[in-house]
Amino acid sequence: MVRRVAAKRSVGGASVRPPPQRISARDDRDKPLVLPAIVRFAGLRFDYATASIDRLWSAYAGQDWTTFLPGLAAEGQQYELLARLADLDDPLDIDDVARAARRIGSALAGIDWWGACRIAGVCEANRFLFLAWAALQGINTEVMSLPHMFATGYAYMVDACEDVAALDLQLWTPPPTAGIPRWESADEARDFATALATMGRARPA
Amino acid sequence: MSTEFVADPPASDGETLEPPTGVRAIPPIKEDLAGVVYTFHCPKLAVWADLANAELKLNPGIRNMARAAAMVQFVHASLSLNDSEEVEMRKLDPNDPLDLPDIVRVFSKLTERWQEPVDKIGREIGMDVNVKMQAETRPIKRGTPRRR
Repeated sequence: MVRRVAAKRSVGGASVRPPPQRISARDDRDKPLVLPAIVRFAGLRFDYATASIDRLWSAYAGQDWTTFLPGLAAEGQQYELLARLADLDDPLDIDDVARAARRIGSALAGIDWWGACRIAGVCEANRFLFLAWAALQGINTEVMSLPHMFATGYAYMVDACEDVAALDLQLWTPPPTAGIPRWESADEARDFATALATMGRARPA
Repeated sequence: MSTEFVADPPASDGETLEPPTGVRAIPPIKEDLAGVVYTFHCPKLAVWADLANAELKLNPGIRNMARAAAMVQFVHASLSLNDSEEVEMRKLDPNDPLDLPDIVRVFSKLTERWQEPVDKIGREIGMDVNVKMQAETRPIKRGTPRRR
């Protein structure tokens, strides 16, 4: 483990620390992403300030649409939306908000929502390998804008796969409208038993 | 991105009628409630979320109370405003045969019919609103370990 200790200087007999050295890459990383100042949805107006790229990248990786609406809205403006959702006579429902939030996320990423989530998800799951690959390519992910992050993530996936056409199909095909299969304990038990049986067969005698 | 972003769905041409989405697309059901037939519309996802949330209460007493409250809210939310007020008045009328068992019976029928389509809508946006599944996967309450 490398431990950095700031050198001490003596001024007038008192020991003071030098000002922290500013590293350009770290400064750029801290620079917030510029969001649209105003977002309009269902007759409501939301004032957006700024957000770090790390926060948004994590939201894409977790398919968390609530970060985009109402998460990024200014404090206090979320309550109006929540009150409308709780109002039984108001036709506005949670799935309308989810679709709007995905539209915002898609516009920020510059690509389709599902593609963005899949790219961010794969890169986050293999964060070390992704960063190592980027370092080998001479790419500094610390100073990138959000669309550039997605482009780099896509390049990493293309570089790691053999069949780019199959990868494109998997990345850009939206999920089935019929819904995502539900988790069932019986299915998991069956899959586990199958895996165990496979391992048993593969085990050397 | 520009300084202003409109997150509403793109406007239609004005001639074609937008098809209903989400729970609004689920057809209504006509059911008899102690002698009067009412039309029930599938309530909003927020109501389903309340119902599923009630199942997650660990304390059985609180869970039953939360479940009963969510159940009554569900039936009222699925009625039109006028019908909801009428049912409310009928519940308070001692001469009216309508009582809690009728509401529970209708509630069971409605959730049985609507659970599957609502479950699909919920899963598309990452919400688990399956009431039965929530009841089955409720976390186990663990007491303080006994001292030896």
